[in-house]
Amino acid sequence: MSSSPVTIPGASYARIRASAAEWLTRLEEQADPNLRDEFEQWCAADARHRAEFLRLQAAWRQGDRLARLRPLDGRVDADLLGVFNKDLLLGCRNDPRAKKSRQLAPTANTKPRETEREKKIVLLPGTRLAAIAEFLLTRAIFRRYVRPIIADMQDEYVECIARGERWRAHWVAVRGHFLVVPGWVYALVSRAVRKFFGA
Amino acid sequence: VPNPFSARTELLILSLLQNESADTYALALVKAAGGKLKRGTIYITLGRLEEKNLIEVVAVPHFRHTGLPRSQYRLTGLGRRVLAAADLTGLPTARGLAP
Repeated sequence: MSSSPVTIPGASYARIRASAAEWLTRLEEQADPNLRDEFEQWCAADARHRAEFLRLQAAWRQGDRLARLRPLDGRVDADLLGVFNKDLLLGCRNDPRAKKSRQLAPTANTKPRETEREKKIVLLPGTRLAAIAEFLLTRAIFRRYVRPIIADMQDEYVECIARGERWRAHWVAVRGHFLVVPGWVYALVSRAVRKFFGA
Repeated sequence: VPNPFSARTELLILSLLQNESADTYALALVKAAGGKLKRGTIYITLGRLEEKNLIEVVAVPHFRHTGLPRSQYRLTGLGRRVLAAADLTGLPTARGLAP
């Protein structure tokens, strides 16, 4: 990309955003002082330029953090991403396709077009069960007999997904839910027995 | 009245936990026991050991995902003394399990 982004006077907000995204990409890739001067000139041309650039830069950094938190099977939590283009935020920086799309049309799609499936918040298996158990059981029983089972199940599940073993991951989730039951029953029965015998 | 069957399992877990350099998550203990511990019962036994103050639990948060923190188990001073006493009296522990 040899020419600097041009902003036409009275340009629309979408065009300013596109230019800001382009500047963001260029400044990340090059540490040229001349480029920095050009960027300052662009910022000085219109007060909205710097504002839009800073907003996109913050979103970009937030996107890096989100990328580390996203599920390993590649699904995207649209609620976490807000209205930003997920390719711009979550596209891997080393992925040439994502990079190319950012350079050519960085904000061509500013309107969110996530499907219903992507909009659904992605929860690890056992999250709801943990919430229910934490509500129903005492803190000690939950911490000793329920939380470790669910935590290990979630870790195994993520490992299976990372290895691409989707069916095994589902099996781990089902087995984990069934494993919680004996611990739960044991804790309740032993508690009742101790109460009965006054121990 | 102490249950002799559960006491054997408890001693096995205590002796596995004695090796502090090893991974001390519940599933790692199941693997280390070589089939003598079952996935379905180890959590109950570990919970019971914690109730008896023979082990302590440290919640280790994940860095790869947002799941619940995993529980890592460690021997307490009392647990070490119980294990030493079991060794002296010749009760079965995990000796011979390690490769």
